[in-house]
Amino acid sequence: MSAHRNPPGLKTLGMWLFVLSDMLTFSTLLVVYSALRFANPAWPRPFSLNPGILFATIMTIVLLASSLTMVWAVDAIKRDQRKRTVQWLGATILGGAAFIALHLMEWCHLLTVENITPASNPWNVPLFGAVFFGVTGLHMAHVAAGLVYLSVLAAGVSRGTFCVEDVETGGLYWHFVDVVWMFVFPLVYLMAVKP
Amino acid sequence: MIAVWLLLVAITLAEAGLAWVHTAPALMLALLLLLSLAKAALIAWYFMHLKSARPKHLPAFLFTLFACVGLLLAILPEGIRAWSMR
Amino acid sequence: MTVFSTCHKVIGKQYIALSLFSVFIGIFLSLVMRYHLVHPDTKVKLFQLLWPDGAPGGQMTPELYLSLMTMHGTIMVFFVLTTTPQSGFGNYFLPLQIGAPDMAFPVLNMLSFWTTALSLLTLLAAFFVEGGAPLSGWTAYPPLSGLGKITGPGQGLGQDLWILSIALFCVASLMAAINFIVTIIELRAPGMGYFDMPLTCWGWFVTALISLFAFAVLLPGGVLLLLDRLAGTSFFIPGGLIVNDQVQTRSGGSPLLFQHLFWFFGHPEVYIAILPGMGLISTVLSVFSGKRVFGYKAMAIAMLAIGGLGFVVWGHHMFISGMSPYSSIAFSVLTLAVGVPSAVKTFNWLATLWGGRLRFTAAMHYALGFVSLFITGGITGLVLGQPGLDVYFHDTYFVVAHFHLIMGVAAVFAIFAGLHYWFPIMYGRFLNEQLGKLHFFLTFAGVYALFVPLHFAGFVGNPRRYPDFKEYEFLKSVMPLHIGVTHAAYFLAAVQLLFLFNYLWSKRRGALAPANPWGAATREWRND
Repeated sequence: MSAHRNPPGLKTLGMWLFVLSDMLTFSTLLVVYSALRFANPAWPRPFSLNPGILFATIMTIVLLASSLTMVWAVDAIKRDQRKRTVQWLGATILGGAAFIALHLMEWCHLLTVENITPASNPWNVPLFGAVFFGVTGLHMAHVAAGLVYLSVLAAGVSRGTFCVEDVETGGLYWHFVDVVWMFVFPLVYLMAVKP
Repeated sequence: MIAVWLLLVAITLAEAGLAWVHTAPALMLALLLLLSLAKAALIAWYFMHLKSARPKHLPAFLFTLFACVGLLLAILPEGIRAWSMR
Repeated sequence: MTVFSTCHKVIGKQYIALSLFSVFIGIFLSLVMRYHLVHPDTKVKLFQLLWPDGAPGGQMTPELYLSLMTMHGTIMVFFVLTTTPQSGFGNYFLPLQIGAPDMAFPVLNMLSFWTTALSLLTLLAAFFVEGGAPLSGWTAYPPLSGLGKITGPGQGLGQDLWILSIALFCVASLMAAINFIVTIIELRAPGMGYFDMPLTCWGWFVTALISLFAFAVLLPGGVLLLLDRLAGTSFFIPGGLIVNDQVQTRSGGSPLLFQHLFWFFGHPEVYIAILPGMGLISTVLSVFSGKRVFGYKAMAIAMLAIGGLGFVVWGHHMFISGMSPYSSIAFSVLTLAVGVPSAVKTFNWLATLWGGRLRFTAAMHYALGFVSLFITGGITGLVLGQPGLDVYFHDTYFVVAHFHLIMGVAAVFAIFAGLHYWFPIMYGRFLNEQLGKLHFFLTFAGVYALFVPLHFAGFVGNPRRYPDFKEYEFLKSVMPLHIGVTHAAYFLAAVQLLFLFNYLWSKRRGALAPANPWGAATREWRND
């Protein structure tokens, strides 16, 4: 590494740019979803209120909770409480892992019990499953990547190699994943509730 | 922060409530998008610290993002056209 | 010089080396295609040696021709035109020109180069897998690209690798774009405002902004296409398809959707290739005219305008796609509007030359050549921007001539100008000036000899992407023209060896350059 030191704020700006770019990626997916739904008027609406929507609501609240613990992790590192920071990061990772676990349970249920797969479903509009698994799958990949990211961050904070801006940047990413879900949940789940 | 979080949870429950009472799809879509934008704004403003520290030129970048999404929405009429083309 | 260097100069040179390697592969592929077009029935041992399945007994199959065309386009667009002007020159000279110690994120920079390299390897691997390289062109339209092996050799694993390669390239470009934007926003020397930056930096800045948003749309497009191929989804596959006498079971998707997503990226991509060149040409013209750039601010704003307009004109690639004709009108008007900032740039270049004390160095020759090509290629853009004319011209050689002149060769001339201009900084020596000028005149003549006749082939209605014309009565009259074009292509390719020799020889043996040999005013020439 070169000897110079960069001014603060670089990583924050870089992460914001990534977030904006990735928001466009998810927006593209949701636009594709909308266009395909327009083109297939018989789009199925299979989700029952209980367990379907209830389960997804719980997942949403779990993800929101992990955002709150992330906020506290950033607060802690700002006060230079490294141990506390690692604890809150740990809680965030736990929340993210719980979200993925719940999500996978739901996937398994849909795949095996309801017979909704990426390529087919009982209503003969195969794109329903394609959109569902495509959108939620890409989001889940982001959550999983976030878990790795936060783990590296936690390790670095406990070793003392990472500073305030690094945790803040990680926080930006994690909240962004949360923001994306705030659009996936209503558009993919709530708009497909059983009439 | 807890207050913001509780508000987010409340909006989430309200959204789920819309499904519960079987709102008409068009109205529901409009309400959901509005509520989701509100949630995204809350998260960005408080959790992502836009309230205290804004990266340079964020309004310009956000404008570009929204413009791109708006442009992509121009694809939608093609979806509707598909009906008449069948 | 370490392999995984994080130094921006090394990474810049790595990018340039990567595209130098790529460009010769691309040229070779184009020569094979040109040869086949005029000798469709000749058996060639070399073809059989290189592509045993695609050219059994040395006789090239139509599928092989299409796969060569696909690879030629993909390699040239992504790994030459996108790579050198932006990532190559940009990495090397952006920090120097704005007085930054390095790029903002050196490690990310290293990663984006190696992701690009991995992407190139993935693409080239498509030649060596079962079935060979894909046939669907650099635009990879579904359903051809979405259904797998059944649509032809190369549409199996080859097409998968192609999509994977493009996805990797998207990721690499996004990383590079973030790096460029943060560097320009945060690391300008104290006191240097945006409008104090050289126009080269403006070119890289606008290009990075375009990349940030354009590649973000191509990436999900590619991912969904891959899902269509591997997970059995049907995002882009309509119902009721019959391929090779087999009924396809998938339904509901829209091939038009992919075209929209692709060209939402694809049109800005054209500007990604040309904008860095525009910035560079402005600098070179001003240095060798001994004058400041005429209308600096207008030039910078014109670049922003071109970048912005680039996002609202993608539909002009789809006039014949079945898109709503009402959309066509809107896209057509917006497309013609791109002519305004482009004309601002052209006239300002001419005004920069006006009354200057011109020094005809090799770099200056290429810069003037760039302006010439930008005009000839741009004028036909106004023709193709009108739906009525485009419907006739779209799938003919007219389009081939248009985009090769403006996007391909113009950007390559900018690369030549940049290499001649900056060689003293990169290697402490001059590229040989006499050889450079000779190479310029031969290339310039070759380029026009190659591409001007193709416009006429387009007038006749000569379709592009056809491997063999002899079946068509109405194309008999065009054959002599194609024979001439093919010879021009041989000539042009041979001339490029001159440049390769000049580059490799001057790197070690070229005349030693003093500090700031051209008398330029920008920061990269100051000794640190």
